Amino acid sequence: MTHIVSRMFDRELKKGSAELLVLSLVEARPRHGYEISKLIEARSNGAVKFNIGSLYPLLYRLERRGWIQGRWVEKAGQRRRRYYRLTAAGKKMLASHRSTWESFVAAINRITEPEQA
Amino acid sequence: MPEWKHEIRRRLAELKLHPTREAAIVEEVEQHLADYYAEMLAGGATEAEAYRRSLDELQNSEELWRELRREQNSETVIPESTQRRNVIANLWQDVRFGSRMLVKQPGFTLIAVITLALGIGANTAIFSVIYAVLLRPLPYPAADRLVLLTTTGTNSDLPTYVSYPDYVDWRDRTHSFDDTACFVDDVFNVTGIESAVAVDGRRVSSNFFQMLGVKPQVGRLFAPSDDQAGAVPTATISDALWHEKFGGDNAVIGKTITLDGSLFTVIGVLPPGFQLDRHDDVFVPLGLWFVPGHNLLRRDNQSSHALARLKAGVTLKQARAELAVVAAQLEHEYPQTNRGRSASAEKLSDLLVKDVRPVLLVLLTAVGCVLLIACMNVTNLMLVRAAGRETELSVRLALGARTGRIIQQMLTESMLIAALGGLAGLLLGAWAIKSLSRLIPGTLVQLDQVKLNIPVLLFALGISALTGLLFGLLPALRTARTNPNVSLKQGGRAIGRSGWARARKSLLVAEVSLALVLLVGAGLMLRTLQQLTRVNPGFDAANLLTLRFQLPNNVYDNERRLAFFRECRTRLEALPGVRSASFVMSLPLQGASWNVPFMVADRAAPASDAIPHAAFIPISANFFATMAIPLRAGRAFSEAEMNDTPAVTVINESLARRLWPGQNAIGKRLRQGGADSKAAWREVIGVVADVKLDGLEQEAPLQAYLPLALHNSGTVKLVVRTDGEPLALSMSVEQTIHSLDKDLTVETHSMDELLGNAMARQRLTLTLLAILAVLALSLAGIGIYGVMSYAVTECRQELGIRLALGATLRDVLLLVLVQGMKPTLIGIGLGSVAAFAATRLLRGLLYGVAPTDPLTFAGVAVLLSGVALVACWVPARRATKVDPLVALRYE
Repeated sequence: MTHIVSRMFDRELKKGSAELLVLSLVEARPRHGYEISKLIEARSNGAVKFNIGSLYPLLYRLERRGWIQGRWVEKAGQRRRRYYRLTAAGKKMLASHRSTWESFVAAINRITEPEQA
Repeated sequence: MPEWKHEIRRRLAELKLHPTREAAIVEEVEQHLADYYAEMLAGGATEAEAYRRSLDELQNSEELWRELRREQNSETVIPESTQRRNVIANLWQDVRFGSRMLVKQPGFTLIAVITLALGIGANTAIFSVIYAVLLRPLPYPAADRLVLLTTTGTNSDLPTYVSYPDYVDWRDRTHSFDDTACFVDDVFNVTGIESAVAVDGRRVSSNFFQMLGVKPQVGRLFAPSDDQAGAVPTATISDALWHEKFGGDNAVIGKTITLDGSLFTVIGVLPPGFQLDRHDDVFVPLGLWFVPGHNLLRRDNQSSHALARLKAGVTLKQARAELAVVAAQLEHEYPQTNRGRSASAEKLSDLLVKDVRPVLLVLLTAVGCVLLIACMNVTNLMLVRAAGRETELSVRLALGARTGRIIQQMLTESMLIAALGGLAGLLLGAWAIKSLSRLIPGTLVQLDQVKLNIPVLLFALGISALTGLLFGLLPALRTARTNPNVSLKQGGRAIGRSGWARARKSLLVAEVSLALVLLVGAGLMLRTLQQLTRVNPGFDAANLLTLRFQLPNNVYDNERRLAFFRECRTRLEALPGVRSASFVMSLPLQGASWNVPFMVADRAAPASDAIPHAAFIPISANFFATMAIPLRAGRAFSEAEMNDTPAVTVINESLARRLWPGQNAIGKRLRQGGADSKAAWREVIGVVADVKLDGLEQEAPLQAYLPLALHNSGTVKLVVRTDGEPLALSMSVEQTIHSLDKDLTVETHSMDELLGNAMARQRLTLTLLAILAVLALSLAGIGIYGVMSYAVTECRQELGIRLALGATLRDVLLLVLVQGMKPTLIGIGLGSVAAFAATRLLRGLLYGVAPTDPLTFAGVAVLLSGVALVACWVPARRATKVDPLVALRYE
């Protein structure tokens, strides 16, 4: 059952919410690609997964649009990693996505509520 | 750890991405796979299992390649607002990064900041003077239209001295000016206050202050009714005098003061800082002296100044043409006095700075050179630093960093250094401005205007930014041109042959050239001062005291004045320590007070515009003995001849040569005035040596000495020859004068002081140039040391190889020295050429030495070579201590 549900999520809802997911995760602080994919998986209890093929195209697309900005950071004793942070334009877009998502969810909830007898 | 790069590159190959973009993607994706692999291992999977699953991640990356392909083909534009925000974010990041780098290398930062501070500080200080003197607009309304009317032609004395009747005619007959005023320089004995004082003052027409836009701070200024003969005598005083003698009390209005024995009522106090060309303490209306027959009203008495303002739209050229026409009319109407005399006008702003402009321009050039040398030193430091980071920067470029970004980062670092240097330079400049004010004589520059004001601050800001750009650009561009392939493969470098080393050596050459130019300038000024001190002024200046005071004309008539001279001399010569005392109308080096035309007996009168002029100087009989002026022929005056009967004269040798070349001048006759002058013919009884009347650099003018009875001016000068230090006797001499008249205010100087003042401009130029030259030399020396020191460190490998292959220590020493001296000698050569051109700026200040004086050039070249040799010596010695084994191992 979980397997079928997760594939459903993957195909349908991921498409609409992918940008919102990534933008909201880099809102708090800059993160690198692997961290973002692990966070999404962890916080969704495995329901949503992004692999290389789905995560990095999204990151590059968002970066091209100027909503996130990547830069290489070298920490002591580690290889350098590319961290992504939310830009000011990205903040605006995130707020807009959230609002749209909330309106959408509210609308779906209203439709799918059991009818009062 | 498995190697993923190959797999990733294989999949990216067909996309044909830009190498830097591809490198970045490969690195990022590889990092992701490595993390994934590690996670699998940590979760208990075997290496083979973890590898397989990681490879699966890569297999399922069709979307990534599609996206990248789309990215290649798309022309998506990042919104401009996002771009702007990114630029600012990048800048802030660069500032933070740059600051961290500077803090991590405190030695480099400190040296760079101090070097810049020296250059910026010196420039700020000199600019403050230049702004105060040359650039600051004059504080008068429409100051650019203010002019002084001048007399020109053969029948005129100094150009800015005009006669009052001429001024009136120019004023009335021209239409080029909307206002004119007249004023006469004077010195007043102020008495009737707690302590008498002699002050500079002016007699001015009533519209003088209004023309200059001056408003009184207390009371009022002159009205036309004050400016007439017979009016109640009124006076206005300066703010300085008001505070010094009247305690700044408003009750000064209506008080009476005594000026040269006459009572004047104070009606107003001028605002602080007001002056026109010099500081005056007292102003009185000019018209008070306009009683018929007064000296000032004579057309042949050129002792007034005329100020005028051009009408809007009238050019100086037009005004001059009009004045010339009027002057021609006056020549025709008054041939006796005005033949050969024309009129012109000069801008006030030009006249005020005429003396000091050449000095300031020389100094501006000099400080500019110092700043350039400082910049070059810092550039060299930056180049060294960039060379040290070459590997890191190459890797970054290889991994996809944009060139522009690296240039921006390096420029940000250099601007940070420039900002720190600018701040430190500003503090240094503020201190230097204070010191300058003590060094510069107040006669050359209005010192209270030399300060750290907004224009000076803006200048400091501007040159800080400019220097940051200058010294930051070369290393940044040089770095951006780095070919990562080449630099990452290259190991140790051959001495002097890398591109970096070439850039540093070129800078050295430029530094040495600039230092040479400065040193030559200072050297020429030193020679000038030497020559000036060797000039024979025509008299013996040692142990000579000079005094100046006023015998007011309304108290002392001719009789009384002569009696005063006689009695004063008797009392003074009785003082112990005084050898002799003499009165004279014009002191040497200060200019003649009485320059008039004269005629020679038994000779046809020359055309009226070719009549010669000479300085006529009434003196006491023992003047030549007191001053130790050698007698060339004949004799000096006797005491009996002091009352001017018979009429005799003693002339200087220039006059004798000019009038009677090759002949004996004794017995010849001449008289003052033009062709129909009624003055008595004077017999020449003696010829004396020339005296430098107009200054040490000027030729001695034609001089004719007269008996003291002809001294008709209220200003009196006294010279006293003493046995010992002249100033030690100043008090007793002054007391003796006061014993005859307690109301006199005496100004005392030793002749040595006057001689010193005569060289003030040159001495100031030399002092400042010398300071700057020493600074430039030190900076250049440090630059040479730094470059050679680094070169030796950089080339340890090559030196080690040479030593291992049998080179002697001497060979290594010579190698380094030659590497260091080559750019120095090239710099000296180029600098000499530049100095040839640059020293022309000094022409007006030099005396007795040509701008291309070979001795100076040679001396400076030797000095610079010596300093360079010393600067190369330490690194050269260090090179000989390289252990070949260590050097060969070092990578």
